[in-house]
Amino acid sequence: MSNIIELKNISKGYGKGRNRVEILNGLDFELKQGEFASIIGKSGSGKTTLLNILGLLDEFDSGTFLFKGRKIESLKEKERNIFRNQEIGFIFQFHYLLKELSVFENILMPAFLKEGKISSQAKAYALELLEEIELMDRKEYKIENLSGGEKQRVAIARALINRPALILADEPTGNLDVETSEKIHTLFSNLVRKRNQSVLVVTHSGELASLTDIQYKVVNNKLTKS
Amino acid sequence: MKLLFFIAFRHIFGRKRQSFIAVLSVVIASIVMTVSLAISSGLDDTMINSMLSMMPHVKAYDSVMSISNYSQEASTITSIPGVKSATPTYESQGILQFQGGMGNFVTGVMMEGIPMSGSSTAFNLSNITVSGSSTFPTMGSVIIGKQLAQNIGAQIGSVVKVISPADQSLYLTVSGVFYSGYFDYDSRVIILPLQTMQIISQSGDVVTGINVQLNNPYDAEKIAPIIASKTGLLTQTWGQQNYNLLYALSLERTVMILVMSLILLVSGFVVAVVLNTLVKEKTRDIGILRAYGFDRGKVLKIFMLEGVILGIIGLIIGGALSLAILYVLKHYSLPFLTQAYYLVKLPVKLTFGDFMMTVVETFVIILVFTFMPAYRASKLKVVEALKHE
Repeated sequence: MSNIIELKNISKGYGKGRNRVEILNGLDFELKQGEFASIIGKSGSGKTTLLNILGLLDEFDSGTFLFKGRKIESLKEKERNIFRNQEIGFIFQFHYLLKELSVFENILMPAFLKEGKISSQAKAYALELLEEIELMDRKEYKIENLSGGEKQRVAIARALINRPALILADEPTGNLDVETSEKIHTLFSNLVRKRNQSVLVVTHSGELASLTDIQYKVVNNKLTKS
Repeated sequence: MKLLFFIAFRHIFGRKRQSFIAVLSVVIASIVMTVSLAISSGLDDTMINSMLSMMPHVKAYDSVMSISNYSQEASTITSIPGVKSATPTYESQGILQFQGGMGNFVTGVMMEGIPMSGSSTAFNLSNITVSGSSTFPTMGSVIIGKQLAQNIGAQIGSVVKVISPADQSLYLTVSGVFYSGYFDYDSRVIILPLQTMQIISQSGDVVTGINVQLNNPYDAEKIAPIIASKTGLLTQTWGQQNYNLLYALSLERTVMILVMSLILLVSGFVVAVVLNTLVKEKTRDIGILRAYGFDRGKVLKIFMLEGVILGIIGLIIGGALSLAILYVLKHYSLPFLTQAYYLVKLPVKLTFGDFMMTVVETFVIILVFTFMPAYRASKLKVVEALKHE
């Protein structure tokens, strides 16, 4: 299997001089096509920073980042934007759905941005995802009328709409009760496995981590397999 | 672009109260600007038209204010293209005395002597005479202004005494009353037959000047030199004669536009405040849009669009309301507004140029004020925007 992601000797810190805090230091990481990996670690250990770097949302100080064999640091901002739109799907701890849009519009938003319009294929795929997340009857609902679990399911569908190469999930159920979290974990796992999707999920949940192929830990600013 | 419009509209209609305030500020500003400009233009126009109704568009005279071959000069001037009429006139200060039912009145007047045959064309009298006749039935007739008639209590058929600077006096019968709309004329000018004027002034068969009316008064500066070269007389256009007044009107208008622009600035500021709040509220949404590939330019465009849409809605409503207000002002007399200014109705004149100036100025101000919050939104860092609570 080919690598989707390859990080070599990545370092990232904040501040300068005495106030400098190293978050990641000489970190190496690989994620293969269809691999479902998780990262567990203490708060402040750098998990989210790593996720932001992988999502092209944040810069790193040194090292090499290859995404599908392409050097990320050489991409211009416009190319990074296109890359994010087409190759990466995000799921955050809070759903971060746009409340002005309906459930269906929220799912379609990345596709709209990718194509400049909503194609019939995108619509069909969005309907398929709605079916899979069992929210077909909530298609035209406003976001504020959904429960926490339903919102997170919509966020998962949104992350999948552009058929990205990589899904990055940051504590996707950190904000939900145990019962709802378990349902979401199963749904999420089924959805990504069915699509042979590469996934990296940052979580505190041992239950979610147990569903993944590989578990990593952040120890001393580096990733180690647990 | 479709998506940007979509999001911009959703933001606007998702926050109805704030959007309403922003639109309202643009509506008020554009109404104030448009209505003020239209009334100002209308008043200026009325004043100039009233002035031009009696004032010669070009006055031809010689250095001693005594033209003897005036009939010949008048016909030479009449032959010049663009000239409507040329009337020999004898002009002089005088005193008018009237013993009426309300008492004895004495007042200073400006006496204008014009040929009996040319009375209707000389001061446009046929159009502005409101009672009696616009021509002289006899040599002993006089036509006076409406305001003067009211002041002294004279009416058609009243006999007034006119005294000239040569200390000659005559009793004349009021045969007509005119209303030019220009207070100074209506309260001070009396018009009498030229021969009567020459007799009372003891001037002989001369005139002080030739009053030239043009087809288009705004051609005066062009035609005056032609008159001068063909007759050898000196000329003065209505614009030169009223230079100070016209300059004051122009200055007043410029100052008014500047002051009104401050109101537009306030409306732009309101839009900026509303957008600024929106940017704060939508920081996390901006983060998520950016995470999903929106570039900075698109974020900038969304918020610029929102400002522009609010501005356009405000301008459309403001424009429509302005037209409605101007229609009411134009067609209905509002005594509390008109009485103080010697007017029957408030004159309004909305030119396309004035209207466009309001639209363009508002639009530019909204664009400028919208740019700052939009730029701020576009500069947000994705990670920080996503962390925003």
